[in-house]
Amino acid sequence: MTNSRTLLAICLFGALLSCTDEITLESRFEGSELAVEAWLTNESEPQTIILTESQDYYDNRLPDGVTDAQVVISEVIDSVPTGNLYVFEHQDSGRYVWTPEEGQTLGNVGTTLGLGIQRGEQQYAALTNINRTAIIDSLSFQVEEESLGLDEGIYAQIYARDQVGIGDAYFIRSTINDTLLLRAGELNLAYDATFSPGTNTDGVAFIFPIRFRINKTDDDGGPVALQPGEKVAVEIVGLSQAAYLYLRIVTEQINNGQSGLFDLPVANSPGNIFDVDTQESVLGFFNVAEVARIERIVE
Amino acid sequence: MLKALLLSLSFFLSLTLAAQEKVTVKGTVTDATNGETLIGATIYLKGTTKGTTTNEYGFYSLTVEPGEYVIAAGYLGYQEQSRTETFIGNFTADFELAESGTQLAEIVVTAEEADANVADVQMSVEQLDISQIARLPALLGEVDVLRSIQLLPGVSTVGEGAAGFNVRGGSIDQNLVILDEAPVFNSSHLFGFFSVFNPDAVKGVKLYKGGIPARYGGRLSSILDVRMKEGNSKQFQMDGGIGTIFSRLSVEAPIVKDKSSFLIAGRRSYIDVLAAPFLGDDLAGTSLNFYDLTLKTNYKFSDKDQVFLSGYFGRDNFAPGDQAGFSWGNTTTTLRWNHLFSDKLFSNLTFYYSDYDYAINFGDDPEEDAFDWDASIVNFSAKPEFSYFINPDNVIRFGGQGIYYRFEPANAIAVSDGTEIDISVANQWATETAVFVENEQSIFEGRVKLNYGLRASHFAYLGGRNVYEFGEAPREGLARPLTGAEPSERSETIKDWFNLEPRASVQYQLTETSSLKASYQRTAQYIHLLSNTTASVPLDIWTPSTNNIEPQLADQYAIGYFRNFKSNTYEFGIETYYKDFQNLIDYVDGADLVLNELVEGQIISGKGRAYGAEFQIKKVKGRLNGWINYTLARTELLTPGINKTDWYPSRFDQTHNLNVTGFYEVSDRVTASATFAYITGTPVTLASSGYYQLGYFVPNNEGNGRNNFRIPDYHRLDVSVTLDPKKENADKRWQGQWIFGVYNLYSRRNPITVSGRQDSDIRPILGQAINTESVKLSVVGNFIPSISYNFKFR
Repeated sequence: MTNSRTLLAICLFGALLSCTDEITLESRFEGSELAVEAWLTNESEPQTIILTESQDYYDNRLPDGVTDAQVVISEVIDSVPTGNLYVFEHQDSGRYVWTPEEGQTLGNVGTTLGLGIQRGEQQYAALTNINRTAIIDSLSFQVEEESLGLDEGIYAQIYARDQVGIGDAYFIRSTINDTLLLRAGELNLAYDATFSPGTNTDGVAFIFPIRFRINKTDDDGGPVALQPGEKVAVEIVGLSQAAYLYLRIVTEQINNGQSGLFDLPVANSPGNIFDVDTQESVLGFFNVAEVARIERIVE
Repeated sequence: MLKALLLSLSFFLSLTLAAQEKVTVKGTVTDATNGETLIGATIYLKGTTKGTTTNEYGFYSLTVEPGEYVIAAGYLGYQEQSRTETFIGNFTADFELAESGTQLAEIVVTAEEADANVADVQMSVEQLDISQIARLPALLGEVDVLRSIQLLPGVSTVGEGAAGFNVRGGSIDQNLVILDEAPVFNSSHLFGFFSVFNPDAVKGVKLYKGGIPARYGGRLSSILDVRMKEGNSKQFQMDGGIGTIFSRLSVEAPIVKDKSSFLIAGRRSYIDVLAAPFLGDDLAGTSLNFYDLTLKTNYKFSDKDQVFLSGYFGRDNFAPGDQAGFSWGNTTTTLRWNHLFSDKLFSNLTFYYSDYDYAINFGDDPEEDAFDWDASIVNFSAKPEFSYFINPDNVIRFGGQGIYYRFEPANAIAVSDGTEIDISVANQWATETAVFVENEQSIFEGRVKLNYGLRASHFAYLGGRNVYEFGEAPREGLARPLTGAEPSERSETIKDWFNLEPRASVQYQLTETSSLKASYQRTAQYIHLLSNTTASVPLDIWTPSTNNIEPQLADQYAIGYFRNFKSNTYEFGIETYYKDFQNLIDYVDGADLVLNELVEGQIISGKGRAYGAEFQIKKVKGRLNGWINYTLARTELLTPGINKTDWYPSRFDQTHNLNVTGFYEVSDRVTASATFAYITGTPVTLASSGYYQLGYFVPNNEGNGRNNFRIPDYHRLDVSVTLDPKKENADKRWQGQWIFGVYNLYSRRNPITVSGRQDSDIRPILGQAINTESVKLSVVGNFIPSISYNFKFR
C-alpha cells in the first residue's frame, strides 16, 4: 500500500503549503545489540552469515562486526539435529562463511535447518525450512510511452509465475550494471502473485507493479529508463511466512517518514532468532531459499 | 428487561392520568424572515415558572392549569414575542420571531435561551449556530463546521489536515456524525482539510460529548448532529460566495408559501481549473476537485403532518493524468415525517439511506494490465421516535431504530499480463436494532432536573461469506493464524450481541445563576473503522463486529459546575470526566488492513481510559465577546503485546489544549475576530537504533515502547475581519460581505509528526553506510492569507 499512500501524500501536499524540516533529536539510543543477517541459499556456493552490532539510528556509519562468535547450521529432522553440520568460519569484520565442496548444498526445498550461534555465554538459535522460489518465464524489455511519472524509454519487466498452492512468498532483487538496487522504494516482495496475503490469488504471473519494480528509480522514486548495453540481472528468493512478514515490515518502515499524515506507526520487524535462555528474539533473520535467476542485456 | 419495560409503562400511565384536566398549548417557533424553525427556543408563561423549549423541529407543547396567561417566545438574537391568551381548551400558538436587528445579534456566541448552560439538565453538549461559525477565522477563508468544533473543550485532532476529530479520548470512528439523521461515514474533503458540510445549507450543529440521551446510539464517544436548513418558506433567497478553495451557491424559496419550501446548495473546488495551464503533458487530463450538493424540501400537509426530504451528494476526485483515478464520497438521503397524534404526542418517523464509497483504478490497458478497486459501506434505516409532553415538568421520549448494513470491503480486479485476478474481499452484512425510552423530568419545583433512560441495542453479524476462525497467535502482538473457514448463508446469524445502555443526567440548581450537573452513560459500538496511519485516509474501511471482533463498549462519568455572571453576560463551566473503554481495536505490527479478507486475524483488542477537566468561560454579550476554553486531559490504552502490555498514551493524547477566541465589533459594518490555540504535542513512536540487513538499514525501537516521544507543542493565531454591507443599504436586494483573514499569522511551522527516515537523495550502495535523518512535517508551513466574498440576494 506504500504506493497509494505516497500518491495520497503527493496530492495533499501539492495542494497546500506543507513543509518538512530536518531537526536534530536527542539520542535515545540505549546500547548495541547483536544483529544477525543470515539470508542463505541452497546453491552450491559459499554462504555468508554476517553478525554485527546495532547502532544509534542517527549514527550514519557502517556497523561494527561481531568477530568472536561460533556459527553453525544443522539439518533438523523431527526437531532433532542430525549429523549434517555446516560450520561457518569467521573471515573478516563479522562475516562467517561456509564453503561447500563441489555439488554440496544446504539441502533441498522443504529441508529444515537450525542455526546456532554462540557468543561468550550467550546462545542463540533459529529454525527455518528451505523455501521454494517462483518460476521465471522471461525478462523482457519494453518501450513505454510517456505517462504520469514515467519518461518514454525502455523498461524491464520480470515475467515470473507463482508456484501453485496458497502461501508462497518471494523477495525479488534486481541488479543493473552490477549495482544492486537498494533504495527503500525498490524493495520488491510478492505474496503469491500480489503484494500480500488474503487475496486468494494463486499460481499466476506476478502482477504488473511487481514485475515492473525491478527498474532503477531516481531520487523522487520515479522509474529510470534503461539504456542499450545495460545489463539487468534478477534473482527471486523464496521466503518463509515469517521472513515475508519480517521483510514486509522492513519495507513499510524504511519507506515510512515520507508520507507524514499517512505514516504507519513505527514497528519492529519480528525476527526468528531467539536467545536460548530468555526466549527473546534478537535482531535480524534466518532464511534459506531456493533461488531463480535470469539476466539479459538491453539491445 | 420485560419487568423494566412494564415498570416504566405503568409510570408513564400514572403520569398521563395525573395530567388530565389541564390545557395544552402547542405550536412552532420560526424565524419571521425565512420561516426556518428555531431549535431550542424558549416558551414560557410570564409570572410563572412554567416553560419549555422547542425540539429539533421547532415544535413545543406545554400543558398547564386553565387560566389566563401571558405566553412568550424567545430566542437569543431575536426579539421576544408575547401575547395574552385564555387557556380554557387546547389550542395552537405559533410564533414568528424577528431578529433583533443589531449587528450584535449575529455574533452572540450561544444559540439558545440565555441561561441554558446553567438551567438545562443536559451537560457536555456544545451548540454552534451557523452565523457564529461563519465569523470564526477560517483556513483559506472557508467557513467550516468541523474545524469550528475543534475549538471546543474536550475536542481535539491529531493535527492539521487530519480527517475527523477526537472527543474525550475517543478515536475518530467513535463519533456519530449525522446530517439530518443520516450518518456521514467520512466527513472530510481533501483528506481532512475541509468538512463535507456546506455552511449555506447548515442551520446549526450540536455536539454531545457526554450525557448522551438514550435516543442516540451506535458510537462510543460523541454525537455530532448537523441539521440542515429547511429552505426559506417566505421568499426567494440566493446565497453564495467565492473563496480561495470553493465557490458556493445556494438557492432557497417557497414552493407554496408557508407550506412548502426547498433548498439547493452546491460547492465546487477549483484548484484543477486554476492549475490546468501549469500542468505538463503527462498530467494532461488531470482532475483534482471536490464538490458537494445538498438538497432539501418539505411540505406541510396540515397542522399535524409535515414531510421533509433531504439529500447530500459529495465527491472528491483525484485523477493525475488519464491512467489513474481515485475518488471518494458520501451520499445520504433522509425522509422524515413529523406527525402530531395529539397536542401532546409528537412523532417523527425517519427513513434514511447512507453510503460512503471510494474507487481507485490505474493501468493503461484494461485487457493487459489494470487495477480496479472500489469499496463501500451502505446502510438503510428506519427510526420512529415519539415525544410525549405530559406537562411542563415531564417529557417522555421513546422509539427505536433498525439499521441494515452492507459492507463491501473491496471489489477489486487486477489484470496482470492479460490474466484477470479477482482480489475482492467478500461482502458482509449486519443488522443493528435498538429501542429506547427516556424521561426528562423536573422535580422539587424545578430545583432538580433529570433525564434518565435506557437504550437496548442488538447487533447481528449475518452470514453470506466465509466465516473465519483463527487460532492463538504464536506470540502476543503477532497475527493469529487461520484455522478454519466455513461458508455461510445470508439468512444465518453468525454472532449477535445484546447490550443495555443506561443513560442518566441530573441537574441541581444551586442558585438562580449556578448549578451542579452529573451524568453517566454506557455506549456500545458495533461497527469499526480500520485505520492504522497517523491520520485516517479515505481508503480506510469499516468493518462490522464479527465472530472475531467484539463490539466496543464505553462507560463515562462526568460532573460539572456551571455559573453565570452579570445577568448571563458571562458563562462559566467546569466539567470533569472519566471514561472507561473496552474492546478497543488495535492492530498487529505489519497489519494489512485493505484488500485482505483475513484482516480479522490481525486485529487485537485492548482497553482504554480517558479522563480530564474542561474549563469554559464565555462572554456572550457586548461589543467584545468570545470564549476561553481549556482542557486538561489524558488518554491511555492498554493492548496485549503492545508497549510490553503496559499503558501508553494514545496518538491524540494532549495534556493541555487551550483555545481563546474573540470577536470585536469595531463598527456597524466591521467585525474583527481572532482565535489562538495552544496544544501539547502529541506522542509518536520513534526508532532509537538500527541495524543492517540485506543492504538495508532497518530501524529498531529499543524496548518496543509505543508513543514514547512527544512532538513539539502546537500554537497558532488566526485573525479575520468581516466587512458587512452598509446599514443604509440594508433594504437592497443584493447584500455583499467581504472576509479578509490570515491563518497561522506568525507563520509557525507546527509539526504534525516527527519521524526518522532514510535519506532518499543518495542511492545506497552495498558496503557503504546509509544516512538517516529526523524530520518534522508541518502541514501548514507558513501564514495563509485569504479573501472571500459572500453574497445574499432576495
